[in-house]
Amino acid sequence: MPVLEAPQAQAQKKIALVGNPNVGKSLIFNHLSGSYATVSNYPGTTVGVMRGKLKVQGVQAEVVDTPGMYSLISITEEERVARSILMEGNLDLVIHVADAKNLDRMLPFTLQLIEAGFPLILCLNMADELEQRNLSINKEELQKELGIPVVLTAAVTGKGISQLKAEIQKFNQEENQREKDFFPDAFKSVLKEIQSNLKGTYPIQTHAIASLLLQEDIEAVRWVKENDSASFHAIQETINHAKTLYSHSLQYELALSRQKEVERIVNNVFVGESSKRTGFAEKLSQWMMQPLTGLPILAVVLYFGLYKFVGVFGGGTLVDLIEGGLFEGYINPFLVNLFEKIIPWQTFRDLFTGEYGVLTLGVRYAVALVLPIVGAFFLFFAMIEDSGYLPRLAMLVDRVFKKIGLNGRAVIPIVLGFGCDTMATIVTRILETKRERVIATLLLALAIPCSAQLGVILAVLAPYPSALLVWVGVIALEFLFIGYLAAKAMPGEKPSFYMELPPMRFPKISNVFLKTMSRMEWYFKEVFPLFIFASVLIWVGQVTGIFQFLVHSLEPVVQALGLPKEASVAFLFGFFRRDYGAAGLFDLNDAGIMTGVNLLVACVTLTLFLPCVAQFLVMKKEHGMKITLGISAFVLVLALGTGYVLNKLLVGIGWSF
Amino acid sequence: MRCTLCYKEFDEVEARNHCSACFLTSGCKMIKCPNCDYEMPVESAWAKKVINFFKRKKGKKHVSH
Repeated sequence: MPVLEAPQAQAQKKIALVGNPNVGKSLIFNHLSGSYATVSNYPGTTVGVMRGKLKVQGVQAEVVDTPGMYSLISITEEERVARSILMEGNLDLVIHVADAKNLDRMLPFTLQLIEAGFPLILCLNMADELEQRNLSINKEELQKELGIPVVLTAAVTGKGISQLKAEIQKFNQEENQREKDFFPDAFKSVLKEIQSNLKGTYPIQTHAIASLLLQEDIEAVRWVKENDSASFHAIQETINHAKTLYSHSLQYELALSRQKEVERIVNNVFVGESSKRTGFAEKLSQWMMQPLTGLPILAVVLYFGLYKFVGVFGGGTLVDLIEGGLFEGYINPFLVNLFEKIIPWQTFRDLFTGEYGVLTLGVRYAVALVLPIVGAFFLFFAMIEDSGYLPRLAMLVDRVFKKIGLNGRAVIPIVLGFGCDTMATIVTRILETKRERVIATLLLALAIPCSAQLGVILAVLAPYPSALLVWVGVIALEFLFIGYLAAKAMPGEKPSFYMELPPMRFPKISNVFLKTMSRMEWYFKEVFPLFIFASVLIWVGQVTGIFQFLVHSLEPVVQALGLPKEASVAFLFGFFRRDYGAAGLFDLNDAGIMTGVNLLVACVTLTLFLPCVAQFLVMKKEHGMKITLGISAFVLVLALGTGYVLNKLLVGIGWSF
Repeated sequence: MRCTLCYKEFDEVEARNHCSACFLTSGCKMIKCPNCDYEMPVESAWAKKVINFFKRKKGKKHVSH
């Protein structure tokens, strides 16, 4: 019996519109409800929900426009609200509004909704844009595949809305709600076993509850604890056993199998050229995540992106032009002359134009040295981000990271560490356990150079490719070895990781420009005042003699590393900020007082060297003084120890670059 | 705005509430994606103006054709 008919005989029905943000849900809502709608906050939240009366002849129903959601596993407050409406709303019909152009990204959620047993209509919106691209969807075939009604609409023009209304009128809830799932056979037995233990009453089908349990959904766990407390332990054992059968998390494995099913359906129903394009992008995406192909791709990206572009072009060509040509050739001589005329006292003149003056050192470091290098780095980084490569990199390194007590999720703070280690230390909060947070903080403090440091190191070692390879080898080895030891010293559960993959795409110029400029602006605003402050601090130190004392104190240490005593200045700068220390190293290289071995040893030691003051303070705030002092002492000893051994080894075997 | 890592759209104001517990919140120029926790700087106002300027120019060109 069509349940949405006979308004006189039945109470008001409830219909919900669900779907990703920006798929035209609100426009569909307006078409269905007319102009009368109310907006109210969902109880206990600040999320607004639109409600209206359905304007379809013969059907009396309330229609709700839910906030955007991507899957039944909710993360944001909006998604939680949308899920609550779905789960607790006693809905008579759910309309999944999806973007027809991106069927492969939309269908995983449709499959979830079908598995959960919601009475469902799939509304493929933006069909006009699909047509503009000479694409089409075989609607009948898709209906057959999914077992639910499918309607193609273009909400902007109103096309297809009448068909949608007709589908609502004739919707048969009982026929639509039969149990259906898209799980692969490997999961079916596990799901059946869990399902057999679910005896209580749930808002959705029990096999969907079982699937949510496999994905460690917090709310599903709570429901089962409340409704089936007696069998919860047995369910947990089944899940734990299932976890041992797969190398990745169950959430990832389930999503992967669902995506494969989606690909099969999409290939079956999509008509047009785009399937070929999707095919290559999908293949590339898979190659990026498989170790055998992913590692060579990573090597190519790092070689051209970091070495050639950031190191050789940014740190070499650009810096030569701005620092060597503009600042050393014109700006600094002009400023020195000017200040000689206007400030007769040498001591005060030094504050502005001395060896470590605010203008001749602070401004030059910030504008002419660090900014071109981080600019090149941010441009490279923005292209990587916009292409969708980062999440695939996370999947690639997930297995390796598990060996060092982390998982693919730690790629986020580690990658951000290449921008700024201080910020990345705060971002370690996103990691689930304290163990992961401490390991990631240690590795950030030890082996992750910030963008400016990385750029300068790439620039100064660029003329010596074999030295650069040794530097990469030593840092990577220490990162993995110390991570491995830390994971052994702090045993704990292997954290699971899953990340939904956005589509691969060509970076858009406007996106790359906006991201690069936003980062450069942020970095410059942060770094400029600090560089000026550092110059003033050095000047005060020079006037009082503290600076010379500290430099002299460090001289025996740097000399033990085989470095000229002048290198102690760069090390002292490094205590203040990593990028400032790196800029000091650049000056030493420019002065021509470092050999190839010296440069390599200095680069390795400075990369592994103590975190800067800001990172130290953030570490203390995040983990307390004891852990921070422990990490700092360990990092200091390891950095100097590695530098010492490396120098002895290179000199011993007579290696020269 | 759109997250540069997971590519999901989110509301900037909502994202600010998401990290209100952070001790560096006041004056922080970073935005955290509520979906994947990736952090990115607040979009540069002048860079957005430049992009809009070129978009408008492109739009006018299309109209005149």
